Amino acid sequence: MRSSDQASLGTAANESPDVNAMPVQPGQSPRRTWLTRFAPRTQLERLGLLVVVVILWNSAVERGWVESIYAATPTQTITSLVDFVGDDLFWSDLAVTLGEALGGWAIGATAGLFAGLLLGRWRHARKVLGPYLTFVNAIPKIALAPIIILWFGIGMSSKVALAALVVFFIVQVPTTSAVALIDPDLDTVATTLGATEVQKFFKVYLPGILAAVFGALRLGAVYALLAVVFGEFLAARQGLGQRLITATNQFDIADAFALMIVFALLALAINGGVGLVERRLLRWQESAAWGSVVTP
Amino acid sequence: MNEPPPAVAHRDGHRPATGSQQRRPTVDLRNVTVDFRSGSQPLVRAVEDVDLQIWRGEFVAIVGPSGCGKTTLLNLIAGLFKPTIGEVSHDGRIVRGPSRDIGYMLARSGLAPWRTARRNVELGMEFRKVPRSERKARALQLLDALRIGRFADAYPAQLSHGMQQRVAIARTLAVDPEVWLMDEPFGALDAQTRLTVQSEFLKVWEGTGKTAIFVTHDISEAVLMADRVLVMSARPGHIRSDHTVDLSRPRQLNELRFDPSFVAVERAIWNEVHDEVI
Repeated sequence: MRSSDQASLGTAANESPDVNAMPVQPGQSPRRTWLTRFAPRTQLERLGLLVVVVILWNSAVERGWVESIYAATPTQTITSLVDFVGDDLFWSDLAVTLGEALGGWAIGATAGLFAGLLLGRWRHARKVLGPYLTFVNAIPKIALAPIIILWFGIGMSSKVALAALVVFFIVQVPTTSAVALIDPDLDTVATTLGATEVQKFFKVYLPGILAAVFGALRLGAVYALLAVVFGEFLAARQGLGQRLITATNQFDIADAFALMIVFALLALAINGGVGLVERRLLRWQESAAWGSVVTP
Repeated sequence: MNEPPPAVAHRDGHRPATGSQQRRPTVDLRNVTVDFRSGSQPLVRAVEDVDLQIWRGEFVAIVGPSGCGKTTLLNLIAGLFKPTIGEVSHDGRIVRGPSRDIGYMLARSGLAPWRTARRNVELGMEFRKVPRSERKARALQLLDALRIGRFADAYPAQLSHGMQQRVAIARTLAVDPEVWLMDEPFGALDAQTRLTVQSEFLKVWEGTGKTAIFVTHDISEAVLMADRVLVMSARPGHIRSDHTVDLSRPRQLNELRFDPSFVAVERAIWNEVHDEVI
């Protein structure tokens, strides 16, 4: 999570040099060149490690250290992956799972942000609702899955609801505490400039907490996928979780292994997508962190 | 009311420079007392029995020791809270909350760190639904007037304190308030930057005909910039005296500091308040 400590933002100064400012000399770019970023040696070591692991994995199955009914070879796993690419049903399963995760994340994150802001701003609401929220949050959300499936059925909506519930608390809790980080002077300024409560909400409080809660939004995205896959295990007609259950039930271990890779790639993609939005919205923080001097 | 009653303790026989023909003051505090309560602590009387009339177009500075209730007076005029006793009115209407005619600049810049300088200046105009292009043009014009136009796209963290305060000044002025309230706006600046920002501010103010009410603990700053200097006593704060500063405008602050007439007014105030800790 990025630091949103207001004090730490007082970096580069043009007129009065700040002792805490990070000195950036002219011509010295904080970004590294492609060569240092590519780091040939590190890349080579990484590749070597991968080769060793794959060889060990392969011999473990080939030589019967592990029974082939419980583990697939790297080749079988890759073959399954390649088969997925040509399989329309795989893509529709992927679309269902991704849609459920993104939908649940969007609903849970929005609700979490709004509820978190309201609770952060109104101490009274926090006092009254606080204990109940803590109680509900204490329930392992996954344990609610059977009830949610009972309520929402075995279609997509039950997975969306489960993911939304998980994401809600991941986002609401840090949002509520982040409200305290907002500069009270900015609130006073907004009041004297004639802001309505709604305007303050969208132009002062919401952007003010965003930096502090982006970490939670990222985490929420990954947990949304987790909740959705778990929901699909329990009861679903479609989705990658259902596909995984089917594969293991049929001892199609290569498909199961390939799905693990798919899940990891999916989580990375979601995480990267949120990261892109984060960089776009928090550009101001990057400029502050580098202490980039604006030269006249 | 036809004739404005004289302000309390008019030692110098002050008469408003520009407002003597007006029927009523633009800002009028009558018999104002403010008590603060914090938890189970006994009441603290911050301001006691203040009568104060400020006329349109005046530049008034309020000086006094820390904790004497200077900021409380500004908060009252800004409508952030109501007095315990007495009433505060602006242009004949009792102040009941923040008004669009009254701009307030705080001691700290209070800029939004996620907005560029220009977008910070636009904040108040956004609240008032000013069209985007108009907002942008006005913000750039003000930043130029305060000589930070080329930093319009910089974020507050990239700006020095002096530049941040200038952005905050521009933000206050962007909504074109009639009354400019300022709470030690230059207090955090080093001496040299302060003089620059003071001069730039005066240049922007002179000729606008707006009313400026300025709180400071710095007597020199008060005399350099204001038409009228009010001295407050320590808590509970009340207005101890009211001095007219008869220096011509536009003022050249660099030269004025060594001008005998400036030195005379400054000394008069110093002599009067030397028993108060400033």
